[in-house]
Amino acid sequence: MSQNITKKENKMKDLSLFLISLVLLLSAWEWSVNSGYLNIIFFSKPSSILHEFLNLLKSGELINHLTITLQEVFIGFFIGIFAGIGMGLLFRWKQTLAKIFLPYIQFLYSTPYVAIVPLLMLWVGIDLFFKIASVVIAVLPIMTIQTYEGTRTVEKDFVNLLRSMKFSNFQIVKKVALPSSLFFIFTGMRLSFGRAVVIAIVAEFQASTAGIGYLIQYSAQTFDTTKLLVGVFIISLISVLIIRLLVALEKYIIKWHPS
Amino acid sequence: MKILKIKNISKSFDKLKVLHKLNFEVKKGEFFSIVGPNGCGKTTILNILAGILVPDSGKIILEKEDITGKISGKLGYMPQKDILLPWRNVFDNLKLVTEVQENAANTNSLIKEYMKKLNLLAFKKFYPYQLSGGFIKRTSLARTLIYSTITGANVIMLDEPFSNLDAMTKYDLKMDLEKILREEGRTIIFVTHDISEAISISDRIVIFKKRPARIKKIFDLREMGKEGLEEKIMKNLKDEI
Ligand SMILES: Nc1ncnc2c1ncn2[C@@H]1O[C@H](COP(=O)(O)OP(=O)(O)O)[C@@H](O)[C@H]1O
Ligand SMILES: [Mg+2]
Repeated sequence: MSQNITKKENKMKDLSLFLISLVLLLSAWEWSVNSGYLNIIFFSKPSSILHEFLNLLKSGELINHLTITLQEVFIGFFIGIFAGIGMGLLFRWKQTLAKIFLPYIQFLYSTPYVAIVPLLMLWVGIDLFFKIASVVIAVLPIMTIQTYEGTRTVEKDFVNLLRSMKFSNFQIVKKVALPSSLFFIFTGMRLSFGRAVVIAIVAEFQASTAGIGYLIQYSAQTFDTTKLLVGVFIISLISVLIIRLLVALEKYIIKWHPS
Repeated sequence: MKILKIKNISKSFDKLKVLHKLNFEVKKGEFFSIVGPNGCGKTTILNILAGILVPDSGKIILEKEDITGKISGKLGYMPQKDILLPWRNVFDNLKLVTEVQENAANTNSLIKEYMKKLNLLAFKKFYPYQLSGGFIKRTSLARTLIYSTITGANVIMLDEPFSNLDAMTKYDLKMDLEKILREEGRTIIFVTHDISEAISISDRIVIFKKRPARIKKIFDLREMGKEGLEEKIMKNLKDEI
């Protein structure tokens, strides 16, 4: 009980420390621009950014860009997750397939994934499909590898026990392998969400007429640092929120952990 | 009547010869114990009986059927390791063995019955991490008994069911186990490294000697009684080491 209270107190302390530093940082930024130490054209300033944010919000422009980017991210993210989990399980189940295909997945995982975007554009054009495909490329390898590794943690003796009871391979995957790799799968989801956002933005840099990546790129070309920073901050903020949400979901689902 | 025949079973892992031409038979309804030092191959022979391991040579006959290297599903098996699914509570862990057939008949009353017999009712909703060692063993034992009841498995294999328990917990569990088994008249293959434990509950005891496991003698407790048996067994064990 008392431990819980101290935990909460500590959290409050951490949060207030962070908030103080944030206010100090923003004030310093604002002050440096106002007093001419920083050039407003290159650095903008917090009050202008907030102002621009509200303007873009009111006009609906921001929501429009955001919807487009999040649509690309989420469709690609979900396809990547399900395909990755499926492939990870399949590879664990049929080890021969793992031996043949896993090296390619690992190669794809270790390439700087944004480097594939221009190539992908040549292959599939510049539409929504191109952006979704880019996101899938970023998500799929992580999810496959995480699921495959997660199923390694399955207790071999348990699998043997179930085999001795005549459970089918499919049942063993469903009842033991998949649940015991949930922790790895969630870690994969957290890691790949960040990658999904990055690659969607990069794909929008390549070719787009709307989206947060477009907003950032276009603002940079027109020296509108304020607008550019609105784009950067809003997408970062949303990424952080969604990753937080994933962590909460993980805690809710994996509630059997003693910790 | 013989229910299970182990004929000339040998098994090696790479160069490690673990079992060498084992021969013994288990009678229907008896409490048959396998005793031997750690690492002598007791778990290995159970895995062979379960069909998880294939022997290098020899035959396993269960009720006239040759089940060598096959998973017959006709032997209940409580493994040596405490393995429950950490994300399922006690009830759902027991429920697992009823899920082989996805649309199995309602087995909840059977699960309740065994939870009652093994004093698990109060822990129905507990997750494995919330259980003490004794209750983990109880859950694991209940799982095996429920499986055997549903499938009509006539032989139950218990691999060191009392290991890693303190004296009191062990005593309670042993009492409950004996009571259940006497009531149900099952055939038991009981594995332990503890000679006095085996003497206290078995009808017959086979002694495995350390690698490769061979059988020198089978002790029939109903014939020879328990008097001075522990020394005799110890002597038999030491003779060849
Ligand atoms: N799958 C395996 N691969 C290699 N060696 C094994 C394997 N299983 C058991 N062994 C070895 O076989 C011997 C007998 O093991 P085991 O049957 O578990 O002994 P016990 O149950 O009597 O303690 C041990 O030396 C063990 O290390
Ligand atoms: Mg053993």
